[in-house]
Amino acid sequence: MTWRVVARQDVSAAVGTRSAKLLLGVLAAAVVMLGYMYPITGPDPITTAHFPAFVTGTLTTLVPFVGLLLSYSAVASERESGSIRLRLCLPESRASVVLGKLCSRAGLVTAGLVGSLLLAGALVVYPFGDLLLPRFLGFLALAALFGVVWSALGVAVSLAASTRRRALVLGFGVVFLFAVVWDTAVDALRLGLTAAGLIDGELPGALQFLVGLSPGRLFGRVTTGFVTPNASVEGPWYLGEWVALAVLVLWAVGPLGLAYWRFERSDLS
Amino acid sequence: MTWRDIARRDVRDASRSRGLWVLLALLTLLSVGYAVGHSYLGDPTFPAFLDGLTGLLGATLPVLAVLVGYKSVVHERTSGSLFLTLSFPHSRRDFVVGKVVGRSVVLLAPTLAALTLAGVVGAARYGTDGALLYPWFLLATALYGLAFVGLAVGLSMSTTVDRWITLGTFGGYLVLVSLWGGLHSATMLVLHRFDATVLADLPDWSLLFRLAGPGESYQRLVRAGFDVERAARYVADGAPVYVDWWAALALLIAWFAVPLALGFSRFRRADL
Repeated sequence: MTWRVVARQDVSAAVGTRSAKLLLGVLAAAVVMLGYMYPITGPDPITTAHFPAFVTGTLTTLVPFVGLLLSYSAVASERESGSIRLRLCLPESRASVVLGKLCSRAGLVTAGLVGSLLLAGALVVYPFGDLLLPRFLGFLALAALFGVVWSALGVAVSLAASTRRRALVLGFGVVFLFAVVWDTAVDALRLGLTAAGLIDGELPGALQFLVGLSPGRLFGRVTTGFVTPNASVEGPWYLGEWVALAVLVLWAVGPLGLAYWRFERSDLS
Repeated sequence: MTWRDIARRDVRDASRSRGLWVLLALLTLLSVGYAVGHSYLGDPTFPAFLDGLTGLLGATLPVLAVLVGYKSVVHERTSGSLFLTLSFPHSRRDFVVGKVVGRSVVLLAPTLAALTLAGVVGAARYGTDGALLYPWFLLATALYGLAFVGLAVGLSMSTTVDRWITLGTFGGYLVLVSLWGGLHSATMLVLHRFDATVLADLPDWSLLFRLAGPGESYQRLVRAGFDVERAARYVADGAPVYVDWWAALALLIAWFAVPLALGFSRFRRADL
């Protein structure tokens, strides 16, 4: 049970830093601002269940940056400075160090995200909107999962790299790929295939599944499928929300598991 | 249970200094002067006189209360005499209770004396219609003054940095007395996305928010006893139950007690 000690120490060290305050502050400010704007600019009806569709776009851009920047240095900086060797002299295993780091960083992101979403939800409800509590709570759970996915990816990057700088480059590569260029690349692919005469404006199902594998798109799909009322995801069963949820969970566990498998065997000197 | 000694000493100190007498003179001049001058300003009836006096005290009494209270603890603490006091069998709690009681007496004795005189002058000049409940007005005024004594002493306990105490007390005065109505309107506007119709038709809960300002609570209490013009929004048709006079009473007591409790919780643990 030493991961709790690691987590507690890591939270108290991370909360005080300026970068953590800044990142979480930007995220919270953006979410609360959206909650403030939504009743004026959003389409009718104004409810807490329709609000998630309004914020997912921003969340899929911001959460990757915040999650990764908060956690990319979790293990890599200790490894670079060598303090991880001291730490492992204590009765702490590599697994408990990783678990503790993950809990602390993912907890920070999730707490910031859920807290600001609650405040935004209150701003949606008062004075113009309606409260649809079960769906909103479901969305909070999904958003927390999305935060955990990106923190886990950050910790995974941190485990895979041996220095902070490499972890940062690797992490930015991942964020850049999935949060910045993915949608543009998919559009380019669709237009190219249409121009070549292979498809008529719509990607075939299998290809849609493939391009829908990015965490952001999965998050959008589960939000539409589970939260937004009177909306459903179209297409065959493998494009449905349950499959998307399963793949999202896989994103949270898979890369971290692979990176840990490598980390466990690596020489830390 | 030695707070009586502290309170007695505090009152004696104050009465030996010029401050208490200046306070008495100022308050007498203000309230009796208003009682005389009211006939040039408004209707010559007793409730109208009280209405004007409420407005006058609403702005001036907090300043006096804050001035009386804001140095109370920190002065002894920084000068070191608190060490001496606490080396006697006084606990910190006795010290604080004694200070609060002492400062309250220092503020309330001149206030009530001056107001009684003003009441007599007012009754003589404007008739005794509705003057029977004058003690209720005195009670409301005393509570209003105590709310700011509590705020000032609470702040005085919470830190030793003079600048923060000064800023806190006078900032508190500014926010709670001068700007409360504006703050309330601004909050409602921002929450309603700058839809100005909300100000004409305030939702129920925001009345309680507005009543939470000590000045508004004071006026609500005065309104409960007298037929004055002020605080009309709380007695209009359809006003919710929780802006009744007892809510105003509870809020004023909370303004007295909560800052004291917060300040004491810091003072009790502080290294002197």
